[in-house]
Amino acid sequence: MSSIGLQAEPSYGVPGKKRWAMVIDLRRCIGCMACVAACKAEYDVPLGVWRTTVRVKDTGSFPNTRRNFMPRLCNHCDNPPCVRNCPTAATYKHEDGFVLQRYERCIGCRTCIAACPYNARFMLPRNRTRVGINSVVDKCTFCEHRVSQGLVPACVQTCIGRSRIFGDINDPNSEVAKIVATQKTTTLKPEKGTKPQVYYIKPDRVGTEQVLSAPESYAARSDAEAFYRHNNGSRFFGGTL
Amino acid sequence: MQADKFVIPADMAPVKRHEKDTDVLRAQAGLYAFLGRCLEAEVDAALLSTLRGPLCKPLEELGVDLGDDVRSGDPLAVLADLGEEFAALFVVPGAVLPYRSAYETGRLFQPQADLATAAYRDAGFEFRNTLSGEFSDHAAVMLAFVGRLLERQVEAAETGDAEAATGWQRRREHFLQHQMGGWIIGWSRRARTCARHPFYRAILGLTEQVVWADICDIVDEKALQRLVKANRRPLMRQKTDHEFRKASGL
Amino acid sequence: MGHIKNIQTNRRGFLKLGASATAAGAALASTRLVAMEYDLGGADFSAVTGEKRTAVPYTCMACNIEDGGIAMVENGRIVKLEGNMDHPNTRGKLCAKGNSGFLHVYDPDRIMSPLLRTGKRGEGKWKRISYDEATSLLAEKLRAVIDRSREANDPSILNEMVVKWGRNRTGGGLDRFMHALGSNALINHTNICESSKKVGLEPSWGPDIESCDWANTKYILNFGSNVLESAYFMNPNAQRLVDGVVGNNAKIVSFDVRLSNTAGYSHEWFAPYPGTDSAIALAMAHVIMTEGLHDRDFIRDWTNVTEAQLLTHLAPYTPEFAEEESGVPAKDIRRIAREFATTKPATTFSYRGPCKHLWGAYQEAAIHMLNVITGNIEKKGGYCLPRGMGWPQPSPNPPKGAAPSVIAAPPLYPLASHHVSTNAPYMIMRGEAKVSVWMSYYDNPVYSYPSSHVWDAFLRDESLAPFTVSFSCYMSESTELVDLIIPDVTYLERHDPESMPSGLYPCLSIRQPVIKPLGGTQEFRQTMIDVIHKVDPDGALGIRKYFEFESVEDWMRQHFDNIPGLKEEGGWDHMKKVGVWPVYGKVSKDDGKLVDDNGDEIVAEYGLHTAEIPASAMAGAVVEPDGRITKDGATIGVQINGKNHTGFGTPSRKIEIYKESFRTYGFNPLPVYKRLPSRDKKPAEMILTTFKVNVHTQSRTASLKYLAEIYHKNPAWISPARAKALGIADGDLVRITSSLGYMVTRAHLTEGIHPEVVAISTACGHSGYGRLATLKHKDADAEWALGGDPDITNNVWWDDKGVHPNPIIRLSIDPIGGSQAWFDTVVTVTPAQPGDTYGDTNVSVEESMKDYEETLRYAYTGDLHRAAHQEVDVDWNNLPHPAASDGH
Repeated sequence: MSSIGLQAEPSYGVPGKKRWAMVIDLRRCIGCMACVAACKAEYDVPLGVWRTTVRVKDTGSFPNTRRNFMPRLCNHCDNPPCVRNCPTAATYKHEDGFVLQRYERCIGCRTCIAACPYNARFMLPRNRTRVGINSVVDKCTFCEHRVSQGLVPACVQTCIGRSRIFGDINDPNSEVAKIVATQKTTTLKPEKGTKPQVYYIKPDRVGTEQVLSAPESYAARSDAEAFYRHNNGSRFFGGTL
Repeated sequence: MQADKFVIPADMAPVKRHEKDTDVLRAQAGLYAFLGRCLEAEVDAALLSTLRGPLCKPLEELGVDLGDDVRSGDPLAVLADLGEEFAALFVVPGAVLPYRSAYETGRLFQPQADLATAAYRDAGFEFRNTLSGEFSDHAAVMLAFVGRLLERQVEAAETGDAEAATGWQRRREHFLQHQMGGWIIGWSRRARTCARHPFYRAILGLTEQVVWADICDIVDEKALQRLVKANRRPLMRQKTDHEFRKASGL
Repeated sequence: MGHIKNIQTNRRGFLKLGASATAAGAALASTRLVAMEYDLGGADFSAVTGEKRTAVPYTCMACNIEDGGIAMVENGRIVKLEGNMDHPNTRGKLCAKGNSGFLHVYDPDRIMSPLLRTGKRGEGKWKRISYDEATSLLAEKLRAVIDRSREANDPSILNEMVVKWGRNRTGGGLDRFMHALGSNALINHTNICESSKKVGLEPSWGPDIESCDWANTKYILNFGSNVLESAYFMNPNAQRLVDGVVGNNAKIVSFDVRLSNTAGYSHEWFAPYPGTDSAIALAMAHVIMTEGLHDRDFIRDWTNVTEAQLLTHLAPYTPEFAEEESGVPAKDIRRIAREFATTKPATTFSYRGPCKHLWGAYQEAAIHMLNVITGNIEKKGGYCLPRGMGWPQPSPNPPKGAAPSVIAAPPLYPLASHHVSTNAPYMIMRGEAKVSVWMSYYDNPVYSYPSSHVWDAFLRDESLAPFTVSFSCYMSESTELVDLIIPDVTYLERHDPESMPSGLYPCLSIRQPVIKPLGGTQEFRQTMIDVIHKVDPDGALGIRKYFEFESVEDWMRQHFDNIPGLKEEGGWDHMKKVGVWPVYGKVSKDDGKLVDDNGDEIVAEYGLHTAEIPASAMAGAVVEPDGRITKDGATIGVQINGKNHTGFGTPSRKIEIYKESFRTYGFNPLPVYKRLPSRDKKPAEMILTTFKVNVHTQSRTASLKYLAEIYHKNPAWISPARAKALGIADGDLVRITSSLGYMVTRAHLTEGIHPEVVAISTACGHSGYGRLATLKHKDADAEWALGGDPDITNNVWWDDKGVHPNPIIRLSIDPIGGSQAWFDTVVTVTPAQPGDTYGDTNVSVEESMKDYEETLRYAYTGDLHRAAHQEVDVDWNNLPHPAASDGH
């Protein structure tokens, strides 16, 4: 049972240490949204915030139109700016690579939300169905409670296209390690120096950019407007139109 | 009337009282049994005749108006009307569901129901539904339970077993405060605004008064304020609890 | 109005009331709180969290794919759903709908007890009754019909007992119920689904669907199917389509009027004019045959047509002709035909765009034929027969009713072997059929049918449907209107045997109560038993004997404990533990294939039609001159090149490209292209089509919050070029007008649609299904004052629930397969008029009745049918007389 240091050192490439990572093969993502539903169910994630989301974007013009899907989640960076910026050390780095949250220490200052270049973090609303944790910051935990029991994360478990692959990238025999070693993969915003540990196979340029792009169609904009009327300071990631 | 604002009326300041008079306790037991029966199931011929019979005058003296038809209308028509109202208020989708689970979580059969079942068992009772869709955390069953606890207390007092009587009282007070106090007032207020028949408006009004008065007897000012808040909808911000630490991974 | 005195100042008065109540004693006793009869001995469950979850296998029914699932139970409650790794087709995955299904169970809007209407139909006034009372009432109504039938000695009266279902996964239970009662009036929903696809396939090769070997194919021709989002069998097929494209370098080409997710994923996408798929498919067949790219041997050995026949038939279907009709360039049609024919293995898939048109069965037959002439049938990586498993029915099994039911099998649609359910209300309104008891099971026609307002009018009319019952546990638009509701439980709380041919590995799965039915609700199977026992209490009517089950579990045992192989492994008890049988192997972590303990792939069987008839079975059999092998009057196979094969499920045991059954009624026995009336619309008009999305079914999913958050509104898809010409900008309010009236919705401009088409999805614009689906959760209206789940009460951020298009969609029936022509509605799209508000819908029942008259003209006895089929070699003056049959 690994010990949990409060601010563990980055573990990528460190012998004897685990470094959990995910590969998302965008050739396989079909935008079915099973991962979004499974994650919401697993964690009683409230409406209006997302631990994982799938962006949808059409490119080209008729009749050469294509549809692109871009699943996104916390990258569990090896050099996480959120951890560095948290004034209370509520968000912390686990020695196996997870970036996690100690809810009881969170004062809701939102510095981490601003620091994250991927908009992966969100503020929990005051109300939710089952879990008694509200009004503090939360995000994807790479399903640490499942991984520590030998199960893959919920989104990986349900992924219909087998687009999400999860494993210890420090283990050369793991699928994620093999893929990253042998195939062309991209991470998001590598220039920020965050060392993100979610690797994408074959993203279009439009894919990596669309992660944070503003909604374009009226349908998406009107949903975003309805969202922002309802949620102050949260980022809108819903919608498929 | 704004159903979601709940303020302690000035003339309902808490008064501590520890009742020893078995006559009073017995009467209280009857009161709870009455309210429970009225809300637990549709009004039937037996209940109607009790309302028109022995309970008629006491209700009148309290200014309780159950409606002209209940007082003197054609029994079959009254029972049909009241049955329709019962279904609309408590049963049909869109109803003001009378379950603690539904009030506090918006879903049926949540751990609140387990807690009620456990409390009943602990006292030697069991919940058994007669029609489908009934759960142990039903407001009416809880009211009936309080009535039974009062009865047990009276029995114990009358056989001279003071320790047992105190035990029953403690159980009752704990149940009232922890399993009813945080929601049943808000619920009965809410249901009352939705009720169309004077009968249910009256019974729900009585319920609110009776339960709140007993809670004021039991609970201190600070706890009362907490209960008032809890009865409001939507739920307010929750304080830190063990879930935080568990989910933190430490 | 009473003013209750204050308790603090009138305590004595309250106590007086209490004393009187005490004196009343038993009259006020609770009947729910009873003395405990058992010892306390150990708690049932602990309220402490952290308890390990129990995993219970079940089968999903969020849609109709029936994936194997595992439900996670914590503290006695279902908290999570996952796919069952042991189900060979599901492979442990569930889609978004399957993941969200547990939300149905504890939904406060679920109907938890039987309800009897007290006010007018649809008024919303109910009385709560017990299951006992409810089943007694239904039994009484049914018995009245049976008594009348016996008295008049007229079995056709029994058909006044009607059941209309949307989804029936009772594994024979509902059929048993109706046939025991003596009725043949069982009507499904299939004609709004894919009935013309089935009728395009069944006469050709036997079964009603294909099973593509996606994972091993090299080329996929997709006609109008959106398998990555919906269609049969979305989850298993989508998994394997991705495996094929990414893992096996398969190419996929899609023909769809709209850029679905499947079309958007394809290597090439073409948008043909709606209803021109068969022109394209036949042109491809033309290219393949004329260029000699076909499989000569297969056509010769396994079909009932010759090369010469096909070449003659296909001669007019040039790629140029297809381009003229469809708009797809001839050069592409030619190229893709060649690619399809020369890339091995290859397959088509066509669920369900091509068949939902007038004459849709031809479209399906044309596409199906492409696989036949290229010899891809039952090949690894090809177009395969579906593989399901059956189960024995408990004995005795009731025979069908004695009299045919005209609403179940309308005589004017003799080839429509999957009913024409859309026509039922029209037939009844015109007095062609009589109804006494209308039972509705897992169905919501007031929402999901074309001209849905006609169903609303029908169900409200007590003279047309004197007594109506719904078994739904949700207050849908249809259930709101009935007289009696006897609620079923959710799919996580009931018993069923289950098998779907959702992949190449046939298997059985079960449904079982993951938790005890909530709050003492009762599953429909038990309701059927109770009703039958009350209809025929002493068995004197000869009905009860078909339902002598001690319990529902007993019924399940009679299914599962009698299946060879499964019986030895423990039958029903084994199924309860494992959920699936057989378990073929494990899912490989590397590539998702099914592997054995050594890691070797468990290869599916192929070439099922070539299975040899063993010598023992050939004893006493005769080989007819035409090759059929017959024994004791039945055809058991076909002899080809000296070998005895089981063949296909057709009279000749070969693939019957030429369908004599079609010709009999004046339909073309070979696949043809017929130019649709909608093809000749005015230039200013457009064609309205509908579609499904990956997170919704027709109806029930609208109330599931995770799914509604992803998709809650359905604006009309329209191309920017067309919109500009109409003066419409993205997001503008528009009026869409058909011959029935109009609707007002918003435009959604997209490059992903044919310029002549406007597309609106299903699943939105509900007026039933509880707080979330209708967004009433925030209303101050006292009726909704309690609010629900705090997440729903506070966090729902969207305010648009969409507008439903079905009211403006005309009834129009393919006379061959019976399908509703969903994709032929001619409309005009204009900017909204002053005074129009979003959601306005204004349609006419009278106009809809005219549609029924019009569509009958295309039925085989109609004038428009004859005019459109002059080429068919049939005696038009001696067509078979419309006869009632016993239907499907």
